[in-house]
Amino acid sequence: MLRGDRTGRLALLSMLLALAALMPVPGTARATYQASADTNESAFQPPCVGFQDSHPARMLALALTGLRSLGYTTTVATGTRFTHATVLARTIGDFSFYVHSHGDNYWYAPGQRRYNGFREDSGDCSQAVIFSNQIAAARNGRFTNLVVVSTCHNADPGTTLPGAFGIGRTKDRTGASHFYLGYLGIAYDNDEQAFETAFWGALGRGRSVGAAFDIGSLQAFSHGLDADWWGTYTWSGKAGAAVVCPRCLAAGAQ
Amino acid sequence: MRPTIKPLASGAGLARELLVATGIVVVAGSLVTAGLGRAAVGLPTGAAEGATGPVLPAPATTAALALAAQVDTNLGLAAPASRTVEHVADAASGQVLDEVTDLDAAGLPIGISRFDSAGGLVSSIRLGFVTQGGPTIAAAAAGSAAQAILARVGIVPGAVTPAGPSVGPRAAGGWLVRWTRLVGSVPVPGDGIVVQLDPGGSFHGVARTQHGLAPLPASTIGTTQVRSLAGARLDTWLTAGLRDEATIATVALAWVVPNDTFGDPIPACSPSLLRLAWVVRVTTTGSLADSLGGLELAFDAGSGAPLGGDVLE
Repeated sequence: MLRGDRTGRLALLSMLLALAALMPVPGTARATYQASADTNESAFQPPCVGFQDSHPARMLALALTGLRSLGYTTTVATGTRFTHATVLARTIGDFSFYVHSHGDNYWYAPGQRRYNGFREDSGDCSQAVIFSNQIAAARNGRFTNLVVVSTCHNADPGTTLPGAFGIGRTKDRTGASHFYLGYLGIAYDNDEQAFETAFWGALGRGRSVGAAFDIGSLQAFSHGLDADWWGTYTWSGKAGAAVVCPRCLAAGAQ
Repeated sequence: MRPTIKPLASGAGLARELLVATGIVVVAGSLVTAGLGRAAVGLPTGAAEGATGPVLPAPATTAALALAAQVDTNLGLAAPASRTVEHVADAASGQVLDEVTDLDAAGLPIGISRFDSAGGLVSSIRLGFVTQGGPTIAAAAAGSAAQAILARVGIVPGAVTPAGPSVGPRAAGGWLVRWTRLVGSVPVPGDGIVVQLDPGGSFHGVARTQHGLAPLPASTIGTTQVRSLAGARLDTWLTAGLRDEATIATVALAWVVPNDTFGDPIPACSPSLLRLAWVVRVTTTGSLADSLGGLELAFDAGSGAPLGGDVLE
């Protein structure tokens, strides 16, 4: 009974998120800055496992609220709407991208090497990896303003994912408008949620992306979460015309 | 130093009246924003997530400013050009805190300190931390530097954490020194004190987290029963083909805040209190590991009732 009620509530939350993403933001002009917020829910609910993990939907809600408060026109995708194909089709238009899923430095057989990436949802229990080199190819050198990768391993030293979004692994105080956030090694859901609650909350209160990172890093973590960032510390994170710092970027990198 | 120093420009009298009318507190000829006052002084505005009220009472504002000034002084930090105060609800703890933001001459935030209702320092952080290099001091020196910082701000780690700190480099640069809280010999993951240092050992941030404790159970169940409870959950959750790919790795006592990760009911009475729990760590292999990196299952140490846990994706 309880399980059914809760499953229904989480399903309702997902449905409301999808509806909310389609509605215009009151009081703002129709934004032209596209964002995608993708979350893998299927891997953590029946039938893939016998429980329903409450974190993915909650973190998606945080991201949606955060991105919309920054002025992005945000599309939420989960289940069959978050697939390898949909990510690669949308990414060229994304000024911002959020993902919560599995992440790692995966073996890419066609290239006989490893690339960082993350798994799609696809609405089933067999979930393909979306590799950084595939994102890089789809984006064709265009850099992304704000990228938040809520997965394991995608901020590890040597990660290839920031470059796929055109963001070089450098830290600068000012001068451009881009920011990549990710986690090192393995990361538990409770810790990621604690970080992201603080991060999006700080951005919503007008803190810079760097300050929001600092505030997120100071949360109480049960497992010693470690995060890293690359980009421009003092940027607001707000949707708007890109400010390019050529040496900060890694256009076309994988 | 004076608690607040944002001098009023010409026409100060009129400005004072307007600002007070719009919810900004004026103290001793200086200007302090509280709650909704950020826009009026040209500060960034936003959804103000966490803001709980428009105005702090003047005595509370003054007290928070004085506390922040004392922290800055004790840490040897330069006095900021001005400060603002806001009442905020901390999303993690649910506490209502006084948040003091230090501003530079251009009005940009350079530091944030948070205080609880008793005036205790909850956290303080210097903003603008940008580093490309790794630590330049040794771990032992970082531990000593963190100890010295705690002493300066009046936090005594030994009172809650008899164990020594863990010291490690942060990916974003500098050091993280962490004292995990212990109750008796049982750890409280997430509770304790963290100090962040820049690569050379200077102050970057400090935070203190401490939840309340529920009463100890009259008796505790044994690890055999805990393994059985965890195994039963795994049997239910995983199909036969995947069950063999999940292994109970460790069973250990910890104080945890119950959560609804797995849909377990959260205790209606004092849900944010720490409960003594058996925490079962489950590792995965094979195809299961592709979709589930691991699990932690928590069970009430007295009753065996599930208390939630965590998911490693």
